[in-house]
Amino acid sequence: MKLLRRPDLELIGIDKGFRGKQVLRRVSLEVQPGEFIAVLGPSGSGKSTLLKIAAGFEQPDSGTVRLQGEDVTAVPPYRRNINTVFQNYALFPHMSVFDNVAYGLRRKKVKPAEVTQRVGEALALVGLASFGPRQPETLSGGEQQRIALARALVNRPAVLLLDEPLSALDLKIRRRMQGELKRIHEEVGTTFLFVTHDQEEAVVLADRITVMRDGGLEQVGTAREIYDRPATPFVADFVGEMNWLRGQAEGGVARLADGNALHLPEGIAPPAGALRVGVRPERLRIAAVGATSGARENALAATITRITFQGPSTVVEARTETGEAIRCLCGPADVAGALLPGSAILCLWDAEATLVFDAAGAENGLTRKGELVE
Amino acid sequence: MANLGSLSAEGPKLAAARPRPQAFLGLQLAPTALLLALFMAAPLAVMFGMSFFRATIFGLETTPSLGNYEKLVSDPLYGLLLLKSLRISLTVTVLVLLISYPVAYWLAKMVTRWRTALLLLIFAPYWVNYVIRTYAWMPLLGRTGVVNSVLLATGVIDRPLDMLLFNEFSVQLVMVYVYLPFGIVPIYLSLDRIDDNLLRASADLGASPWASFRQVVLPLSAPGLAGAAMTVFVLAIGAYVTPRLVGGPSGIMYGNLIADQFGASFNWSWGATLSLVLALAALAVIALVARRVPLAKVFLQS
Repeated sequence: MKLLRRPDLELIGIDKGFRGKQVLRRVSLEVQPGEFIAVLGPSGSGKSTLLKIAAGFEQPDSGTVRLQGEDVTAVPPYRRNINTVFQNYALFPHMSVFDNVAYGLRRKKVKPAEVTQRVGEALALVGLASFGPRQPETLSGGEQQRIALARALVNRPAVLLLDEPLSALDLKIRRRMQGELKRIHEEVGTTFLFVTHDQEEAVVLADRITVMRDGGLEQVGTAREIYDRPATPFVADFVGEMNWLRGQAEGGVARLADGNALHLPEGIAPPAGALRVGVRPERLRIAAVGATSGARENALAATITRITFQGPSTVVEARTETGEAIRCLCGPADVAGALLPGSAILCLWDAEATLVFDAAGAENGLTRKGELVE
Repeated sequence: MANLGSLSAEGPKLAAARPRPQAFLGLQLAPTALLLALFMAAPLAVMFGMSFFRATIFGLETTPSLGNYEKLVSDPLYGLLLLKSLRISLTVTVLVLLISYPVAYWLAKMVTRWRTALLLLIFAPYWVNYVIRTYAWMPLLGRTGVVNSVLLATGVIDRPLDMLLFNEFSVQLVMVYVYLPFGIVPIYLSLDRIDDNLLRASADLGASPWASFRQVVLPLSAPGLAGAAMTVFVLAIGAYVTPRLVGGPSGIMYGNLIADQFGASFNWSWGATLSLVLALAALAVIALVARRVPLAKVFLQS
């Protein structure tokens, strides 16, 4: 899919500072036609600034913005074929829903008959066909959100930018809007670039996820790649949950704090020195003490500290013999009735589920220097 | 009066938001109603009643008569003075708005740092009593004033200009200066309230900066403009200190006529009649504004 096709949006080496503070550092990103890409990061990671630069509301200090191959770095927003859905929707309060959606078409001097037709189509697309005469203030948050989407899409932009569009909605409506966004994306086929701090949202919606941190790109990949093969401990922590264990590598053999040798995924050799070993909670399996582990399985002895029943799953919290806290997400079949706080257990996990980072530069359990060794 | 209607229209909405017995609503409105009755309705009623009295050398003759109203219509002077005052007030209002809008826009949308300090600086001269601020224009505009001196010294003119002071021009100039804050503040507030994302949205949808201004900023600041216009107009139509100090004989306004009835002439009933006429004229202009911009939006911006 990446081959041959020209990217719809290219951000090349974008640098941006505000009052001496570097907000973006050499950020490069290519968005393919029809792609739904999420830019994921905590607040202050620069993701919103990146979106503003793509839209033209901010100028990069250096770097290039290309839209369908054309350099638009110096083009003002009102001459870019790109539209934005704002976090607070930014519907014009003094205009009806129809006039809001028609606004972009009228600026382009589209004929009134065509305006009426296209606005009607856009409103139908977001499921609010009869809302034209309404005033924005009479709409619920979810409805305003859809109108904002219609107002942007009616212009048939090359790229649609969405700035945390669902963050102001309550959970239930947010879930429904996620499905709506996905459906609309499939229906119109427009390229979507979506900024969010909600990792679950990014995983559910996006074809590809870009994880940002401190103004730099941490990793770009599919949700599965990012979840299963996080490039840094930061990504591993930010997307999903992670158990971190201390380790040590010598002569190509990695060991946990209890001294047992660690099975690693095929072809991965640990860097020498202190290690940070990561395992997702749902990859841990609980077994009775004395159970034999598989040939390619790691085992860790621990004592249960707490069991929390959560309906479909049960969280078993435990402490290893070397004092490290771990969480294990178990299905109903994994938790036998005999498990009680205080029980000694064995935590087992597959070699393939093991992540190893070097501990250099580790701070407070997070590091950007840490790299997946492959 | 028009705003009273829209204010009380908010009552049921509040009651609906917090379910309360109807009787409680009456209680909530009671203090406002009392204040309005005491300080607005009662004085107006007194004025209205007094306009049917007659002043004699022995004091007020309280037998009702239409004498004051006959006087009002029989002499065209009073109508002409009212028209002149309306013209001056409208001119002053328009000039104040024209100057205030760019200043307010600059403060609300372009200044990012030191905004509070700049606002204070703009208003610093207005901490001085306004009589003094008005007097201050005399050494500027007088025959031997700063403007004439500079023009003479640079050879632009060879004898001092008399047209600068003690006429309608100086009245308008000084009133514009004095009322400027009443124009800047409401406009600034309404502009400050406009979400910057709305401007981004209009640019994003293809509107040039000028189109954004015309289609988004201007309509959304209309309540502020209307509030500024009404405030300045009402202040200007009742003005009497500025015309007295810098107006000379040709710069006299309706307010001076009224003030004279309560001072030198001691004819309160005639003064009350003139005041009623002025109040009605001001109300008529406000009603005209209210037809364009709902007053609820001016006073209850949400």
